Amino acid sequence: MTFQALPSASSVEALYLQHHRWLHAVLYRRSGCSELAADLAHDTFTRLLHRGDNVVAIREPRAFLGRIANGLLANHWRRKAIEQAYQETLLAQPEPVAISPETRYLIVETLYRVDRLLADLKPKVRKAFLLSRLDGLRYVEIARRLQVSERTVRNYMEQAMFHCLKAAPDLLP
Amino acid sequence: MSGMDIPEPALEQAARWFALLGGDHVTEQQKRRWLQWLDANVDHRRAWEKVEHVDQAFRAVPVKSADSILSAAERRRRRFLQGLGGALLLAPVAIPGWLAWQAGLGRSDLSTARGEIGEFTLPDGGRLWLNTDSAVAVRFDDRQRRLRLFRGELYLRTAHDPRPLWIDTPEGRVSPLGTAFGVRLADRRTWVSVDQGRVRVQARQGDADATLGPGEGTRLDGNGHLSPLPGALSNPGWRQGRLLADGRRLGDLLDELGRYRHGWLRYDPAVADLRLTGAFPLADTDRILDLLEASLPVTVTRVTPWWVTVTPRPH
Repeated sequence: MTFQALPSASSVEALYLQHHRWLHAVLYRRSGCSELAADLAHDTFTRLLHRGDNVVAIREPRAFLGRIANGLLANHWRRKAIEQAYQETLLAQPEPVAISPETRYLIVETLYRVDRLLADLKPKVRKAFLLSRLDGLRYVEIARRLQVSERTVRNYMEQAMFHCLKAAPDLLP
Repeated sequence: MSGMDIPEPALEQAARWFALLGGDHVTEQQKRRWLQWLDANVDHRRAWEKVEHVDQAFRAVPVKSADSILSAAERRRRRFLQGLGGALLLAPVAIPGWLAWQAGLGRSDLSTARGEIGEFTLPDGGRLWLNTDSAVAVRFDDRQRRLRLFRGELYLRTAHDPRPLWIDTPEGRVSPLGTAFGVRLADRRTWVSVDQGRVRVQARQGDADATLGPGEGTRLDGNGHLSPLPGALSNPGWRQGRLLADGRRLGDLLDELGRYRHGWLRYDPAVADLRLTGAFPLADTDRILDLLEASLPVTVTRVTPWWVTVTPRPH
């Protein structure tokens, strides 16, 4: 059984030389886009370098790289889906809306962060929290929309806030 | 680092205070207690600071309907993953308009208040009836005719028109093929019942798909399950402003009546299985209650006009 110590640049380099083509092929198979596969493969190795001084012993480099790449790919799709959903929301506005590419990027990025932060919450809890904080709805209106009691809404708000309080500060939107 | 060393109970309490103070009816006493809690302990104050920090982070998010957008994104992603995993035939069908409406931007164009029944002519000449407390968005253009039922119940008699017509509900899509039929949202399900012609019902989740003929009905839930219904609509008389009962359980009838009234209409389970027959005017639900009292062994108690209970009449 061989262990490899990470992440010295040289060990990442060794991994890169050994597994880069394989990783690219895997990502290409999953995404159907060579360019995206190349970007994500690159990001995967960059990730390794940025792990700082944490020495990680890995037994199965391909499983390990695959896991990171999978996570990156999932994030990519998630962001893409949010971007498209946001785009459609804009298109559906009765009046045309002009938004600069920068602003749009920031909004999508913010939505993506909100999504990640609240992903573990039950859908209704997340919905209640966002309706209250972002849309400024009162509990009574949220209760009506979710078809629950106001007391339940209050309970949802408590759960969501507690979740955010426990999350790492840099995860906040 | 910050937050790691605030004890979890303090964070829990802070979250509870946050939820309580965000409510619609905060009393002076509650505010005083919150201040006492804040003063009691430095951990409490630090926990509360963190609450404010989180709250501000969210308030700074410049997007409304974020939840709809994220839910739409989630559905889109799931669909996409499904498509990759298996049949690529599962291409996202006609999602854009649906998403836009999901995002809360499609305003409801036609609606009725509680107790009100409305009859409307659609741009294509079709007739639309809305039962009590219902709302519909109407989007007709030169290619298609789209309706979205937000809440309540509708009945549609379609006009002859080459453009496809459909009704979206939270659970799925109902597309008539030249027909007269009803759609109702209740108990987180879509209920469809057909009088004339044929109607196609497609689930939004999964691929359940059924075509109903005259006299048929179905119930579609959020998981994409379709279950056939034997009977017609719960009250086929509503378009004429009548509550029709033919040997109907009093409990069912009172549930139905409750849709037309503000406030609470409650009944003792002991009276729920009494049966009655009649045609009652929905325009005056108080009169229906009087009629019930006159013809059945029940007592109708009006605690306030908005709080009515029906109990067995004492011997």
